[in-house]
Amino acid sequence: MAKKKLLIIFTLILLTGCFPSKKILEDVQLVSAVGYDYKSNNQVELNGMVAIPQRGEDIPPISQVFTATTNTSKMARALEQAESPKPFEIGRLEIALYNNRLAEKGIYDLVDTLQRDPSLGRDLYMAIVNGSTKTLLKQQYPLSETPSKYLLQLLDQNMKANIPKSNIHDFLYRYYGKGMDPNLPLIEKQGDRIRVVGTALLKDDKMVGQLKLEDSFLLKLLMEPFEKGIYEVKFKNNQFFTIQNLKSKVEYRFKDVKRSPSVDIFVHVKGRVSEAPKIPVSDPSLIEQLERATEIAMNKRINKIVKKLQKAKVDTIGLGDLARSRTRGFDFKHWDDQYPDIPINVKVNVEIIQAGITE
Amino acid sequence: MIFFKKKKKKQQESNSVSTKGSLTFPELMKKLTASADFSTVKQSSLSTFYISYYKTLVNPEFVHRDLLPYITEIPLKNLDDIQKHLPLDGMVKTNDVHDIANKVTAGFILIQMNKDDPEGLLVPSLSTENRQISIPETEFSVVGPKEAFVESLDTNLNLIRKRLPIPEFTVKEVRVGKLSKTRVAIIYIDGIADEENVNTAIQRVNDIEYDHVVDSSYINQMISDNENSPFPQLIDTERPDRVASVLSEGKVAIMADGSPHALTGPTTIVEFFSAFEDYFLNWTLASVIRLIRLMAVMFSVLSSPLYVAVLTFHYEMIPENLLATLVASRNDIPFPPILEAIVLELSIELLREAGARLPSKVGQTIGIVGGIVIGTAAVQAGLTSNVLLIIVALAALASFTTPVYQMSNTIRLLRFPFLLFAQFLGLLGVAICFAFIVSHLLKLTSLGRPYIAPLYPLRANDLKDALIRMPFSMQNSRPSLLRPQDKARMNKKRATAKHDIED
Repeated sequence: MAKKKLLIIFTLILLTGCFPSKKILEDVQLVSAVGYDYKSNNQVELNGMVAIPQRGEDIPPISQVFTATTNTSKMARALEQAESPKPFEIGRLEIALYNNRLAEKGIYDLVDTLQRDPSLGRDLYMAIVNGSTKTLLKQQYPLSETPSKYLLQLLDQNMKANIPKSNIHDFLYRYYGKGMDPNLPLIEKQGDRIRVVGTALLKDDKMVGQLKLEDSFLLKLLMEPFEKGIYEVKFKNNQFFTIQNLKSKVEYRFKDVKRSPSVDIFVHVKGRVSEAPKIPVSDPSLIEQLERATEIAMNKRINKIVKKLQKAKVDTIGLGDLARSRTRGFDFKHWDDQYPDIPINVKVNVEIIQAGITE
Repeated sequence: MIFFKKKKKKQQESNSVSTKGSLTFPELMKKLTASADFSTVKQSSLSTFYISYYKTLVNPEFVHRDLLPYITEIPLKNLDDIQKHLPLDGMVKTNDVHDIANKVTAGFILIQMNKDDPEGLLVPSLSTENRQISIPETEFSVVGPKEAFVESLDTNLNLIRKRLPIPEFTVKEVRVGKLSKTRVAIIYIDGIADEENVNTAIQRVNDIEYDHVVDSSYINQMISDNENSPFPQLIDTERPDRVASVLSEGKVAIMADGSPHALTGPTTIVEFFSAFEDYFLNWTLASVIRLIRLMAVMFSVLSSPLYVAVLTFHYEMIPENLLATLVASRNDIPFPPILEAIVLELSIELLREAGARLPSKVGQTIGIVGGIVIGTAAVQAGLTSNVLLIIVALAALASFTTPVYQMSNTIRLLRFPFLLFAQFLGLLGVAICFAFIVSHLLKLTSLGRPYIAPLYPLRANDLKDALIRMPFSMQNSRPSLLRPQDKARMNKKRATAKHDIED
């Protein structure tokens, strides 16, 4: 018994070497945003933004950007470390930005180091920037305390309404998955504002095209059910009205996938007329006309977007994956060959269920 | 391994003070008269006899009003005559020296015909000073009875018995303690309480080996299944209504003379978190309050260890909006989180202890001085972060919501091992410490019955009065954990039926 006790005490003493290393909150430099800029064919400029909290609770933190140019991003971190008073910790990273030139070359290698890091969450936002990420991160924005916080809130609320949902998890899922391609939000610095300008379409990890913000909304309709967003429609003789999406649903139907496939996509939108100058919306017959007008406008535009995707051979909607999930013995090669020419018919069904509280 | 073996010393029987062994009557009288408050009076009006008693134990009024008139006015030849003439019960005629010694020291009056004759008549006349029955202080309730036990066993038994006026209400009395000879009562309802539980309780009390037992909390520690556990294994209550209620569930209560508390068992851990007031409130309210109390316990034990674990190891876990505040408040503090937490926890314990040891009026001042002055000063001086100050203060507050005082002490103590584990291994350490405590609880028993019972082993039927309290109409069976001889409390059908006036 006594021997056993001695053994336990001895083991415990030896085990003290196995304690995990401490990373006390205020002794580390938390990186909240990183931006990658294109330098040359082999070199990438890494910009890490840190928010340095100030003394006292009411004073907002100051943001600083550390920059280094190297071939691998981890090495860049080591170089930046050389001018930081505290060790960098990447666990609180909220957003990773990629320059558009870099994105055209492919960003997988840069995403890969992030996905391997065990301290990073899977809900990290990614975005492609038109222009330099360094200038975007260095700017002080009056709208928010730090650029990272601004970007986080900006993407968070836009992904609910205007652009398809996408974070590092979605990106990797769509990157690794067959029959689908990733998309990322496209942002731009305009003065002291940052603006979401649309959606970047990626083929594997390379940016091959982009959609405007209004088209991003329609792409989102094709991809996922959601409950927000606004679309403007032209009515007769230069009258315009806006439809607010209250609830959208999407349905896919595939025909004859193995030989000559065709796809029907049904989009059901339940909406509300949110603004209609000079149009008397309380008239029930008129509502029906508004519904028809919206359907026609959306149909036209969506079919154009689908054509664009087919032409660029990107399957952002993930139709290949959807077809596979419904077909026994699905052949990806056959599908990929045919994808640009598959007849994809989108049919939008709009139902106006409200016209405001005055109706 | 010689170092670890200690030869057991032969236990020495301390016979010097005990009344065992041979003792002759003159020796006894010599011992008794050595005390200043022992008096022997010679009465020789019509016939001669000697009256001896402790002036401080016997009611003098009784001697002069109820005893002397009866025996001085009539000529009496012997002790039998006296016994016949006295209108009192409980008199004993004996010539056993030990019996005389025991009775005289317990407040009997000794009447002898002959001073050196060991034969004497013992007349009971114990007078004790009693505190008035007052309102319960540690288990105060807003509604419900306001009676609490006092220091007299007989008064306490009266308080319970009047709530259970049935012949099955049984009191077994034992004397415990070589010197104190404390009267200890084991109380149960015959026909409901499991015989095994009753026998266990009686046996454990009988087996107590100690010189003096002044309070029931002594007994609580001496008879508990695991003396080393920080968890109390019997409920300590000062409410007679609570005792009456648990007795009718089939539990056993133990009371000691001179102690204003009753011990009840076998008990389970959930019972420590239920206040008796829960039964005075509507069942929905009572259930919600019980759940809040349970969350308060978890918060009290885990909040500061989690703070230490998260700030030391898991900065990823801090909510985005809290990060800036936390870093800003931690920035100037020279200590690592663990020291900060231990210093604050200890200072709260200091405050509590100071408040408990001081008279209540000064105690309030301590609370204000400690809470407000030291708290603000510590934050301004940059010794602690105000986030932790809030957490520690809330945790201390939460620990006071536990209705049983002993349990709330345990909970306050419990967070220190958690803190150490959090410092060494972070959240993993907290989980490991939790596993230790759960396995300890699993092994624990109360009077031989499982301690965390309705939860494990799962007794689904007993859950109706555990974490939540179901309405009275559903409390139709007694807790199966107690193995009651009579399982049914009432007829369920009749309890749930609501009669209108027409029926």
